[in-house]
Parts: sequence; structure tokens; C-alpha cells
Amino acid sequence: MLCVTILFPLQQVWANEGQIDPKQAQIEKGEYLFRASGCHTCHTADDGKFLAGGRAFRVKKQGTVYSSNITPDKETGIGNYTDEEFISALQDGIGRNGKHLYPEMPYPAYSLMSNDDILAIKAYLDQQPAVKNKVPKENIAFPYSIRWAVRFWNWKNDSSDHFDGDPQKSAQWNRGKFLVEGPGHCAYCHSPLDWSNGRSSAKDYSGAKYNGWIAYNISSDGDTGIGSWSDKDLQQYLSKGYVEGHGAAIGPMAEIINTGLSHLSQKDIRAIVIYLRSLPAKEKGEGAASISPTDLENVEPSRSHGSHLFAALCASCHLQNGTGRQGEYESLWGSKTATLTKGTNLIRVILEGSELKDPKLGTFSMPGFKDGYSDQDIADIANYVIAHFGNRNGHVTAEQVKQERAQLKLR
Amino acid sequence: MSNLSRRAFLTKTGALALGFSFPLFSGKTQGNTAPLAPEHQQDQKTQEQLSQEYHNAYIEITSDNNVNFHIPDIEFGQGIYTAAAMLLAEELDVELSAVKVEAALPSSKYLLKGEVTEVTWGSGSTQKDWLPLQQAAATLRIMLIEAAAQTWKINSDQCHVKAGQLYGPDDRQASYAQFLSAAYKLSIPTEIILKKKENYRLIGKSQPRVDTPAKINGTAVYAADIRLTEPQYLVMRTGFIISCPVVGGKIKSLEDQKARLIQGVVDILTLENAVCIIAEQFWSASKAAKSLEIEWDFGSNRTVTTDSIYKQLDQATKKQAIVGYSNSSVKIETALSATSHIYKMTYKQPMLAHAALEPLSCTIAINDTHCEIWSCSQTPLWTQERIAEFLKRDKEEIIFHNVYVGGSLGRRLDDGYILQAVQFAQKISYPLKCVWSREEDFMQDHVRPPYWDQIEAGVDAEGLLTTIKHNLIGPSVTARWDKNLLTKEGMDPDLLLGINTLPYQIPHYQLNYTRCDLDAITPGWWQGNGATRNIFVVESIINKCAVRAKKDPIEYRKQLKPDARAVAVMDMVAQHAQWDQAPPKDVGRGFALAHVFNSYIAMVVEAEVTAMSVVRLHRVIVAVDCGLAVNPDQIAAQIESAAIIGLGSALYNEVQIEQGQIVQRNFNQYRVLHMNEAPQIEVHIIKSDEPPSGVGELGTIVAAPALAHALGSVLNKQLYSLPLNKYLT
Repeated sequence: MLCVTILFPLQQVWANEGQIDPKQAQIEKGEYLFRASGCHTCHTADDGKFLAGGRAFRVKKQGTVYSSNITPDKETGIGNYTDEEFISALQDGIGRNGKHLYPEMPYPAYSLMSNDDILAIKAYLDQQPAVKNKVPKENIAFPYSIRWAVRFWNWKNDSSDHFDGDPQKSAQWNRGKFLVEGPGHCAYCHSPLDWSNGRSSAKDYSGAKYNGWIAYNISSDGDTGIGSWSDKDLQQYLSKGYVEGHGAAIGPMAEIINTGLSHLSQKDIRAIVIYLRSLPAKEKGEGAASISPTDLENVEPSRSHGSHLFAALCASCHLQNGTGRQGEYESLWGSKTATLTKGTNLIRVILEGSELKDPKLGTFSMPGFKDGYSDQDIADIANYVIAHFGNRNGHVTAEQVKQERAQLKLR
Repeated sequence: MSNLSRRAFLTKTGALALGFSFPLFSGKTQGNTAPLAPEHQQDQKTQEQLSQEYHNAYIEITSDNNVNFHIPDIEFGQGIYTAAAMLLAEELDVELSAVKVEAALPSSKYLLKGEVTEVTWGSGSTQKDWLPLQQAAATLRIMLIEAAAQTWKINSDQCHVKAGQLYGPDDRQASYAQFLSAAYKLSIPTEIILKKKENYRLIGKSQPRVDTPAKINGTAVYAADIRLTEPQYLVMRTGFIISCPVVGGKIKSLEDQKARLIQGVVDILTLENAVCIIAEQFWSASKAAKSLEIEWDFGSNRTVTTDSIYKQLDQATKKQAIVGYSNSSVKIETALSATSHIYKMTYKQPMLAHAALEPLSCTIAINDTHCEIWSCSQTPLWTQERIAEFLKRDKEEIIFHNVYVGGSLGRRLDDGYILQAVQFAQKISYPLKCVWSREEDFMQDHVRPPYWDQIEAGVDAEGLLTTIKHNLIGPSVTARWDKNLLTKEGMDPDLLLGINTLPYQIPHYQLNYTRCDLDAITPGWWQGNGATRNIFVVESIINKCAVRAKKDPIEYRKQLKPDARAVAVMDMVAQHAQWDQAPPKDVGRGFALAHVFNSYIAMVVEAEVTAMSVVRLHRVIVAVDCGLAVNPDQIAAQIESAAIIGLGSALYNEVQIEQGQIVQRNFNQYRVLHMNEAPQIEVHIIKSDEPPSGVGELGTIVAAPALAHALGSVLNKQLYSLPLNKYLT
């Protein structure tokens, strides 16, 4: 087994060890890995306190599980975890009481991190304010509610090895693989589930539906994946959440960027891009349509209800040609969200809005329109957007919007 | 003659000013300001004193022959600055462009007979200003003519005026300004003869708005534009206000350490139920607001929802009602039993937000001698009194500047937000501009409360409506505003608006009222007040009865013996809407009529429901009789905009409550009619010599019943509750 050198931006800091408190260095390393691991996104509920848990995950045909409270609160959080117990939870998926965690917690991916990495995360978490918040009990249907089923899942899916690098590949590629397969656990959303709800055996990155959102195909396929993206575009998208010609991240991806990826070093983001590029091309799903803003400007105006609503509600920021009035973060043209015919993510973002946080410029937010507009209105807007930006026939129905709306209420 | 007393004054700048007072001058000193002195005492005062005292007089002619008009009415887009300036310019005989309109400081000097306080509301400003303002201007004109006649040693009937100039025999000509001193020495005439209508130059002819240039070039000042840069003020700061989203809630704990570290943050102040983050400028305050951790004690309303509120109304239907109005000596049950058929139905109207385009804002500068405020209150004298009471200061020390407002729809009839700002400002020494984000404005809104109207409508053998028993259930806005305005039985007179002036003869009409206070909301006035609610109910009843009687709705109304002015607007709207021809296929046509604010309005709405259940508004035709139309273009504009608000609101709007909080916080959640959804609107005005009557809210009042009628006719059912989009899915 080869031990791959893991390059942290903190490396230079460690070089001056004389001035740095090792405890502080551990906390900083922990924060970086915490960001890279996306803990924040799942363990903070929509209107909840930082890391106090309670976010619901709907698992197809099984029911709902809730993320746990990972603040240092002794009663409802992880305040009483010993180092061994914490490592066991993150690497083996075994909670403090000996119970197995549900596979929504990506511990097989986290097991790629070393014990030092995991304890660094714990050191960071221990510094966070303790919040007393008892999360709801999971609501899982038989037979998934039986813990032995989880044990079975573990047996089948969890190889529980620490990170195993490839000496034939560059250090950057290996770093990228570590981030993507390990803390980043990208496959958990972007790869389809197999029959036992496990992802690790099916890491094809060809896209999947997760918690109501479509996580797009990020394999290197030129039409349906990210093969046609330039490195520069990919890098900007991953660190900022938007890039002209591909649109902006919304929903869970936006949260991952806000709380995780935007805090990673450019070097690490480059490593992620290098690794993603090397994933085998899987042609699956629909590709984005890319019609240039110049062409969009010359489109004969539509007289549909959807186009009227788009003009009244959307065009003031996104503009009719989809370039965005104030910046790239408002751009729509060329994006999958605006051009895929099923419109799944499109409906959701129109209903509930989205937010991107730029550390320098502040928050870019799109409001949700669920309270002011009917299912038919939203279906009409979606179909107009797909037709206008994709030159495709949108397949969105009012019934579909109604179902998505009902899903929102469950949260 | 009106009941005004008038006084002329010559101010420091040499302007001749005409002030008003009512009741008559008492001669006693009030507070620390000088009394309204009778003329013979005036000379003993210094020019300084006079200038200070009367800089706010109603009308001033300046030494450069301009006219300063200090108007007590508030301009929130309705156009009163222009209409009032027209009345003044007409009688004073000056060009409209020579009149400079400025907001008056609140003063009881401007109160007319019978007025309790200064208030801009109820489509009332032009009606109220009509005679007093013309008489005031005419008084000045007569004095100037007399002054010129004496100076030129001729008879006053040899003098005439035109466009700010006096003309005498032998080509003598001089500006008004040249006779100011001479006019000042004259006694005020007791007999004022106003112009004959056929001699009007301005009234009745559309004039451009006097506030348009400033609003286009950006010099018009709204509350958020206030910058106190003058040397007498300390550096002004901006406060971002966050209040408890649940009525009756309080702050439990506040963690503001992170917020205080944000660059530009100056101070963080708290009241029992609100926080004010003060910073050097708005964006720092807004940023800091996001990093505040506030834990609220939401109190007893924390579990209230829209449904629980509606349940409260349902339960109240069983409570004892009071008789609020009856036009007949026959017992209503007896009258109903004599009818051929009784229709029973319940109309339901939701909570509504004001959703004015300009969110709330208020700037306050407090020092040892004064408390100066820039904001908007539709009842400025009351606001002044309340602030004085709170600060334990004399009323005269509270200087309240009413500035331009970007829409109110009744929001600024409540001055709670100004008092909240004062409570923060009195804790600090520097001037403070308080800003409420649109989300805060929505969340703290004093919503139009929900109402249930249970109706039993009796018709005779011909299907003609003879009897209405109307049980009204809901809160009383008047009771919260000023309990003294209720009748001694506890009836809220606003809830009768439109019903007690029905233009038809319905022999037996009784309205019973069950008051149902809702603790979780703050009930507020909304566009059209009680009439908006009442006219939806009454006109919907009539439309339903006409449908059941298989009669044309206009013909049916004519059988209810409407008065002549009502018939005239019905005929006019029918003619312009081509009522005798069937509407286009798939297009529904609705009708509604109202007699309110002394005006008559008839509206026809043409609307379509597409195969995908989308409403398209095609055409709205309006006929209005508002007496003499002072500024016809502005009347049309007011009716158009009020109709847009009424149609959009009837179609889409309902404020919802979840966990005691208002859900709708911005326009993405509270839908307004967009430009590309607006119908073509025609406004036709009846020629009339009656005194001008109210216009501002008429378009909203008839919009909901007319639209419900139109959509009901295409959907082939009766629509009883708002918003109407509930019927479309």
C-alpha cells in the first residue's frame, strides 16, 4: 500500500511549527476537511442551528431519516463521543450505542480518511457551540427499519479500506481521487443507487436522483457529462457555483459549494477537476442544449402564458437571452437545469429558489415562487424556459409541479 | 362661505401669506409658540417671529410673484398635489406652473369644520379641499385687486387679473408681488364670489401633474432619500429593524457579538419586541442583521395558522350579533318569510397585505429643543401627539415632515412604525434613519382582516330582490384605531360603507354584526375600506339573483329602482362595452356598480379562462360620475391603477399565517398583476356640475365583484370567496 502525500494549504503553516500551536493546527486542518466533507450541508436543517441536525432525507420506498446533531452537546449531540467512538462512526458506520448508521451517512467514503484526519474533524466540531436539539426519530418502512438489513448492506457494500493511491498517476490525480471518493463523497449523489441502496459498487458518476433533485451526470462523456466543459469552466463552477454557458448550481449543489467547495484551495479544486476528467465516459441521460445568447436574442417572441410570466418574473434578472443582468451567477443559457425536458430541477428551483454565497460579494439569491403562483403557472414557466433556452419541448405538467410541491411540504 | 377664519400676514421675506384657523382664534398661548395674533397686535412682533410662525401658512405669494402652497394632504401617487394646485391657481388666477406645492407641517390650523384631525384617506381630499381652497385663493385675489385699485386710485371693478398680473385702465399692468404690502394693510373681505364654471381655465381640463418633473429627474424626496448633511445635525446613521414576526411576541435572547464586529456597525439597540442594527450605511446594517442570533418568545400566538383563524370566524357565527344597520321597520325574519324564495350563501374574503411599492422608512433627529421626523403618516396630527406623549414633550416640539410616498393603500394610516423608530432614536444622540426591508414591511403589516358574510336574500315571485339579511363576522379595524368612533351599541361604521348608500331600493336590508377579534393579526385599513368588502358581497348577491331570475344584470338592477345617477353610469358603461352584443366566445363578462364616497362607478370586466385554467383579462370598461371632474386624466389614471390592484388582489391575493407568522414576505409570494397581464382599461367620465366627489379607491371597490361575475359566467358557477384563483384548479 502506498501512502499518498496529502497536500493541504496548511502545509506551509505547519512548516513554521515553532509559532503554531499544534492543537490550533489540528482544528484548522479539521475545518478544512469538514468543508471538504460537506458535513454542514446535511447536518444543518433549513432553518436550524449550525450542525444541530434534523434535516430530512427521503429514501425511495423506505421512508425518512434525519441527520443527527453533531454539535458537542452532551445529551443530544456528540459531546460524549470518545475518539474511538467517533472514528468508529465515521469509518465503520457504527454509532455510539452500537447501532449501525443508515447509509445516508457516507461513512464508507469517509473511511478513506486516516484516523488523524477524522480526529482533526472532531477537534474542529468540539470547538463549535453546543446546541440542544433532539432530532426526530427516523420513519423507515419494514424491512429497512430492521438494523440487520443495514448490517447486510455493510457486508455487501463497505470495503472499509483506507485510501489506496495509484502510483502510476500523478500526485494531483491521487489528491483529486481522495477528495472526490473520500470526504467529497460525490458519488453519493451523482451515481445511481444499486438494489441495496448502496453506491460504492456503482460509482459510474452518470447522474442520479437524490432527495428530489437530479444530481447530473459528471462522468467525462462529451454530450451528457462534463466532457465538453473546459478546465477553467469546471474549476470556476466548483469553486464559485456558476459559470457563463453552464448556469449556476442550485439546491443541494449550491449548498455544497456555499459551505464546502468554495472554501477549498484552488490547488485542490484543480486536483478534483483532474480526477473527474479521468472518470470513464458514461453516456446517460439528456445533455444540456447550448444556444448562444446572440441567437436567443433573435428568437421570435412567444405569446404563451409561460413566456408572459417569464418576462414578468424572471427576465428582470436573468434577461431574455439568459446572460444575467448583473453577473454570471444569473446566467441560464447552456445550463442543464434550463434545458432538460423533464424539468425536475427547474421546477424545484422555481418553487423554492436558491442561494449562492460568495465570500467577497455576499449572497446571490433567487426567491421561490411557490406561494404566489399556481402549479399550472410554474409548469408553463418551466416549459417556456426549456423551449426558449433548449429549443426542446418541455414535458412539465401541473401534476408534476403539484407532486414536487407536496414533497416540499414534507420537509 | 365656509367656516374658515382667515388671516393675512406679511412675512420676513415679504411674502403675503394667508393662513387659516378653525375654530376661531382664542387668543391664548398654546405651548411655547406664539398665538395666532389678531392683526392689530401683529406689528408688535418681530419679523423673525412672524416668519417662524407663518412660514407654514396655507398660501403665500412671494416677492418674486410665485405662489407657495403648503398642502396638508399627502401625495402618495393619487395626484392631490395637482388637483389642489389647480383649484388654487384657478381662483387666484395664476399659471399652474407658478404654484409651488409643498407638504405642510401638521397643524390644527388647517382643520375644517367637523374634522377631528388631519387625515388623507377615503378618497376624500378633492371633496374636502374643493370650496375652502377656492375661497382662500379668491380671497387673496380680491385683496390684491383692491390693493391695486387703491394704489392706482381707481375703482376695483376697473381692475382685472390674469396669470399673476393685475391690469388697469390705460394699459396699466403690474405683478401681484408689487401690491403685497398694500394688500396686507387691507381688512379681509367677507363676501367672496367664486368664478363661474364657464370661466374655468384649469378645472375640468386635464393638467400635467405638478410632481412629475421632480419624480422623473430624481429630485422628489421620499423618506428613504433623507440625508441630514446640514451642519446642525450630527452624522446620520441607518438603522435596520427586525421585529418579532408573531404579534405579541418578545425577544428572549439576543446574541449580537458577531454582528457588532462587522465593519460599519455603530450600535445594536433593542425594544421588548424588536432590534435595531445601526450602521454607517444600510448595507452594513443589513449584513449585520443576518449574523444576529435572536431567540424569540413567540407568545400565545405562536401556533396560529390561517385555518385556525378561519375556524375562529366559523365559531363566531354562533355568537350573539348586534344590528348594525336596518332600512326597514319590518322585522327582517318577517320580511324574509314574505318572499317567494330565499337564497342562502356565505361570502368569504381573506386577509390582504398592503404591499405598497415603497417599503417603510423614517428618519428622526432628536435634540434638546426639537424632535424632527421625516416619514409619512396619513394622520400626522395624531402621530405628532403620540410622539409628544411618548417623549413627554410639548406637541409643538415635534416637527413632522410628511414626504412623498410610493403608495400606501392604507398602510400609513397606522403610525406604529414611526413610534417604533422614535423609541429607538430616543436612546441615541445622533440622527437615525430607520429602514424596514420589504420582508419586514410584509411581516409587520396591519393586514386587511378576513370576513365572513352570511347572506339570506329573499326574492319576490318575479325573482326580484326585496330582502337581505346580512350577517357580518370579523374584526373591527375602527375599534383598534379609535374606540370612540364606534357607535354606543358597538357598531363599526366603516363596516357599513357602501351599504348605507346603496343606489337601489331594496325594501328590507338588515346587517347584523358579530365582532370577532383576532389576536394574532393587527387589523388595518385597506384600499376602499369597508366598501371593498361590502360591494363584493352586495353586487355578487345581485348578480346571482339576476342569473337565477334569467335576467340581464343591468336590466335587473334597473328594476331595483336605482337613482338617476346610477342609471346614467350603467347606461354609459353599457354603451361603451357594447353590452347589447354578446361577448366573444369563451370570454366572460361581469358587471358591478357602487355608490360610495358620493360617487358612482359602473364597471364591466371581460375575462377568459383558458383551457389550461389561466385567466386572461381582456378589457375593463368603467363609467364614473364623480361630480365635476377636476383633472380628468388623473381621474382615469386613478381608476386604472385602482382597478389593477383590485383585479390582481381578487384573483390572487390571500395573506396566510403559519406558526403565527405572515407567510407572504415579498412579491414572489404575493402576486401582483404584471404589466403584460393587465387588461385594456377604458374610463368614461360623466359630465356633471355636482361638487367633486371621491375617486381614488372606486376602481378597487368594484373590481372583485365584476371579475367574480365574469369568471363565474365562463366557469358556469357562482363564486363566493376570494381569491378567485382557488376556483381554477
